[in-house]
Amino acid sequence: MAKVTLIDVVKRFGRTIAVDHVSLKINDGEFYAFLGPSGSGKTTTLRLIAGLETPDEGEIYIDDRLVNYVHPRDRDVAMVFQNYALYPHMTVYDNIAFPLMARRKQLKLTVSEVRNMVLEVSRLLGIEQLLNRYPSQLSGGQQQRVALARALVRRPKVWLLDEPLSNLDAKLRLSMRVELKKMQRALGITTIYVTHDQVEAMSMADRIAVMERGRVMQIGTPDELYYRPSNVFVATFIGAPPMNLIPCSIVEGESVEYTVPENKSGGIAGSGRVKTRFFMECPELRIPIDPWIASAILKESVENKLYLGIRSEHISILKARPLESIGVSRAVVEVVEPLGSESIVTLRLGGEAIKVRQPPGEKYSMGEEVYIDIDLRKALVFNAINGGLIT
Amino acid sequence: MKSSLSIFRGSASFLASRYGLRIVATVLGVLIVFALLYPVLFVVITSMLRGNVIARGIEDIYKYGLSLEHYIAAITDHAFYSSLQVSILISILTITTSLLVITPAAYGFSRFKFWGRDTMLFAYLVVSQVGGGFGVAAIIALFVFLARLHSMGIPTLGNPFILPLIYTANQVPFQTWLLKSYFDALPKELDESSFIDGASWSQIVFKVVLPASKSAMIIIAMFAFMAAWGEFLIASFLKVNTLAKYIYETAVGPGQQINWSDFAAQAILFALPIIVLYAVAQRYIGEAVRYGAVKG
Repeated sequence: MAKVTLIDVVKRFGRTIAVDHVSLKINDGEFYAFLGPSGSGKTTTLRLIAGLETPDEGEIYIDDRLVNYVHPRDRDVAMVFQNYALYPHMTVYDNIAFPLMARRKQLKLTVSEVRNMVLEVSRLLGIEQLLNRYPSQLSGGQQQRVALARALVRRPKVWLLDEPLSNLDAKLRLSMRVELKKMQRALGITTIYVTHDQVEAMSMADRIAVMERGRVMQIGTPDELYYRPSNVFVATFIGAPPMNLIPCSIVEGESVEYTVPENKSGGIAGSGRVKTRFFMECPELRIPIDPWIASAILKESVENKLYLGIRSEHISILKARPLESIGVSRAVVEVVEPLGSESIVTLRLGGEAIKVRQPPGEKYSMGEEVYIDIDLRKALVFNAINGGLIT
Repeated sequence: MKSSLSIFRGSASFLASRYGLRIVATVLGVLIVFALLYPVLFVVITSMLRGNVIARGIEDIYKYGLSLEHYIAAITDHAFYSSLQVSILISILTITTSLLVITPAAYGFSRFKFWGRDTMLFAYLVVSQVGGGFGVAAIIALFVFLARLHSMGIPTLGNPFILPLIYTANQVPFQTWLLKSYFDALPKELDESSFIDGASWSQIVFKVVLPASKSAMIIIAMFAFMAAWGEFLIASFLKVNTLAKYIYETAVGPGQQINWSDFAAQAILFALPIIVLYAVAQRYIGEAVRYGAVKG
């Protein structure tokens, strides 16, 4: 078992910069995911850790050992490739045994020891009845298991998985997700998992590094990424539907005094009895905000161009205007997508389309005028210029 | 009810048309094969006629009678055996040198980026596609070159060990392309995976890459064999007694008189290995065709 540390790692391919000053600290036994769209440098980062690429700058440590120029086989890592890379001319048994046989002398293993190790790992993955077949005779899911077994048979320090589930069908992917997580927990092996599927990363990983254009945008637990994304990219990349971003700005108006209701206190509107001259001005929506928060926001965003970020489940739809009006606005129903356990309702708020997650049951018709009630405690404010989170 | 009936009728007519199409295709196929094999039939008949005559029709069988005397004459001739040995030696050497030269080159072209790689590949492509007059000019230049070497005391004429090198050189451009595209289709992850798994370079090449590209290797070997086995012109120039040269010399007797039946029998014996090879390696040829191999 091992920890993996990357310090300011840079990798260039010609003039394009694939990995841009990435620093990470992956703990012993952790399930860590690199998440990002294609071309974000997540696979290159994984290949740097595997040793298939050498970094142009920076340092990579596996267990306090600098491995920048260490041969892959001496790093004690194992990798599962997206296309599995099973050896087509070998049986399943020979495929799984290959990492052991390739350096049997170095590991001082007898043939029967190799056999026992192969049988043990194939039992773990439930493929012991396939050992005499060739890869071309296996289904996609079985090939996947063989690839996982081949990577595990050596008991490596670090298990590297490059989009291992993306070639499976949707149903198998769901069950493999659970199984992979269970297996990783049982073995306690440090695992780095590359994926472009945010659901996969969220459901399996202990921590996730969200990457875009070679840079790490945010590192955090799934909850941190979901509830406190540190920038607009993470906010819209994580979660389905993505976070609603409503363009707003802060305006000064006539001084008002209001009481924040219990269920909304603690957010941008402040709490208790508030007296303010500042309002968050959004399309069809004007929210009074706490003067302290307002000045903090204005200090961060000189241009005063903001996004009000709100998750689809933190907005509720009301048929009639509620009594108190902080964070309440009129909106028009545009599309309703019933998904069984919930419905996604797309509403038009001025010029902006926002998506709201609703429990099933309530029926809305297209073009219907409704009221939305935003949970201001959960609302985030982003700087629209650089995308950073302000509060 | 009515609609289901019409569907039934529709499917019946569909079946009938499919069946009819199959019959037409089969008849057409048989005709094509017949047209292609018709001359071969005459060669076979000629080889089995008594006396040295050329078959002009099926009725010649009754006129002259059939026998295996030409075959027996061929395989009991000592010169036949010695030239057969030379041809086998040259073929084996050509196969070996071709594989030794082409495999590493193709692997390098496929897996590594280096200066001049694309230019060289393009040059290979051009050279492998240029034929006709250019090829004849090249053979003449080659002959002059080798004759000069011979006159300088380096034994090039009549030396069977020169031929495999020439045949290999002829194979290199096209077969390197063929094997390169085969390696290209072999996922790079195979190499990388074995790299991480701790295999050495020799293990990667001999345990992973080459076994996984077995069919391409067989194709390369087969092309090399056919090029060496069937080549007549250069062997004749260089005065190497290969089987092809032997057949030419025994068939054309003194005074340009041609012993047709001997010639036919020897030609069939000569073609046998290639026919057998094609039959055995058929599935590999199919695979090679998929990778855009097999010259026109």
